Amino acid sequence: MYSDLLGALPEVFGLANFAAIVIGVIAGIVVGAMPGLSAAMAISVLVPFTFGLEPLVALGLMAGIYNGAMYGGAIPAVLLRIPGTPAAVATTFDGYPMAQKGEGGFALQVAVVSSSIGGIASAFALMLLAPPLSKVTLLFGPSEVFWVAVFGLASIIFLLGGNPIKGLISACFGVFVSVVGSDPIYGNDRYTFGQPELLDGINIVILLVGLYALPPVIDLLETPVKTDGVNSSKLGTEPIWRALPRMSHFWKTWIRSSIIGIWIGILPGAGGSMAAFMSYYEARRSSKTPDTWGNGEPEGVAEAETANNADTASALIPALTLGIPGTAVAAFMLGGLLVHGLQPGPMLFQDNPDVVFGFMWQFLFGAILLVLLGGALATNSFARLLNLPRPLLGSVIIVLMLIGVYSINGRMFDVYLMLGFGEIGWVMDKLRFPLPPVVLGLILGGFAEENLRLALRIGRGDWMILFANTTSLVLVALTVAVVLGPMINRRIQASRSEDATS
Amino acid sequence: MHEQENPCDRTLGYALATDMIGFYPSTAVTIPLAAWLFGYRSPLGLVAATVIVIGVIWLIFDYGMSQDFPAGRLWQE
Repeated sequence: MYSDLLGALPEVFGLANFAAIVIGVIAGIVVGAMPGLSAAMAISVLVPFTFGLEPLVALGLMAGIYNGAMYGGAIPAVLLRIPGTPAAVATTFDGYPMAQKGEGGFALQVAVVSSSIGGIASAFALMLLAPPLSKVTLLFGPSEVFWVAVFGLASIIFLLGGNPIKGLISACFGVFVSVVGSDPIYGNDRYTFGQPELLDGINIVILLVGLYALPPVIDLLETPVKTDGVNSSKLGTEPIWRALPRMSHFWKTWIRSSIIGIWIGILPGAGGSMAAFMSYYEARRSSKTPDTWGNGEPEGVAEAETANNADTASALIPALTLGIPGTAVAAFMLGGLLVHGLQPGPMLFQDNPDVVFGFMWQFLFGAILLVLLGGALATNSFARLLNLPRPLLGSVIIVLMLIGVYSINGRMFDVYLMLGFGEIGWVMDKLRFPLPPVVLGLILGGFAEENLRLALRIGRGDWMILFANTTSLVLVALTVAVVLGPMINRRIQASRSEDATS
Repeated sequence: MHEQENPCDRTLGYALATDMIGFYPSTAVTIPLAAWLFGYRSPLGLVAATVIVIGVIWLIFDYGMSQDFPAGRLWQE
């Protein structure tokens, strides 16, 4: 099972593949350090460039950017209290007070080491969990895959928090988008309105760029960030080998936040910011000295930064084995795989072991390189990135995004479609409809439909085929638990608080 | 209270221009125009950025990957 893992190793050390990781990590740190630029945005800009690249080179770039950006966000978070990415918000709580005390250099070193450890833990989780999971999912028949899709949708609707009805409506919209195109079995047109461009269905990258990547770029154009610059004297950076012993007692923190981050990454739809917040509050709760938290406690920085890197590779565990992405960035990566004709799922592990396992190694090396590159380059030089002209940057990124969407199929129709999704996403955001269920609805809707119909064909139209074996029944039970769990939980808490007041 | 505007509307103008007058002309106008409108005023920076970005796009996509961009419907009649 793990022999393919070692087999893919030499490939990763090829010059182009390794250079891709290095460039990716550096680019990721830069992107993360620019407030307003996120990993999802960078990867969406990257997609068109990857058409001409080998799959592993393209994936190495993405893995590097993902890891780099999660750390990069900490740089302005510590130095200026401006989180570079949403996932770095929790880093500002203790990072900025540390910088004010003249320990900014140490805070950044804690951030880079913790990020790297989180990323390494996550890569190991991916390597250890994905191969056995793919063996299990290989045995899944159509009815099991149908229930996995239903379970994935149910968990994103009911576990994300917020209003489940709105989540359900969002998911239905995503499923509706997945229905557009020609029928997979009979081939008749559905909701194409006579547009030949819609016959193949709607590419996931188009939806992702419209919902996730374009709106923040426009934001970047419109909101100026004024900084007074950072003067180098107050950083107090010392060589990293002298800083490392001061971090040695963080090991408990690192383990705890790695586990939290990995778990959040696996859950569909919840991303780095949720991981960072959860582990930050968890750590403060269990700390012996909760008063120091928020006043420059290095452990707080370690906590948040470990967690937001630990969800990177683990988000790909369900993505690679089942086709259910754990985060928005993982959804973009799935789009990148599809561009190269690599269909995620258990067959990917059999047909393209070099690519899948190489990708996992790239995550690991990306995380290791982070500490080398981030440690050497970071601190003062990166703080200057904030002074790049944002309007210029924003307009260039818009151009690159249009190229990206255009070059998927080489037609303007997709660009208009993307803008249409941007429009819908904007309205949904204003009305507080969650966006992750839309993405998952599009991905899983097609899965669910195809496998449901296949299962019914096998069962000659008898719906009981869906409940015919144990695996299906377990998945049904899990789905019911996910739907009813939060409701029961709320009921119990409500009755408890009633008891307390009476 | 004034109505907030959907940010995607503004990108539509650029997309329409690309469709009508072609990718390179509309990009050459959009990059400096958008940057200028949002507060970047250095003329040298505007020209340099536009030339570099379009040059690199042409080199990578047109020359390197032979990806064709819309030439503009207006000229095709």
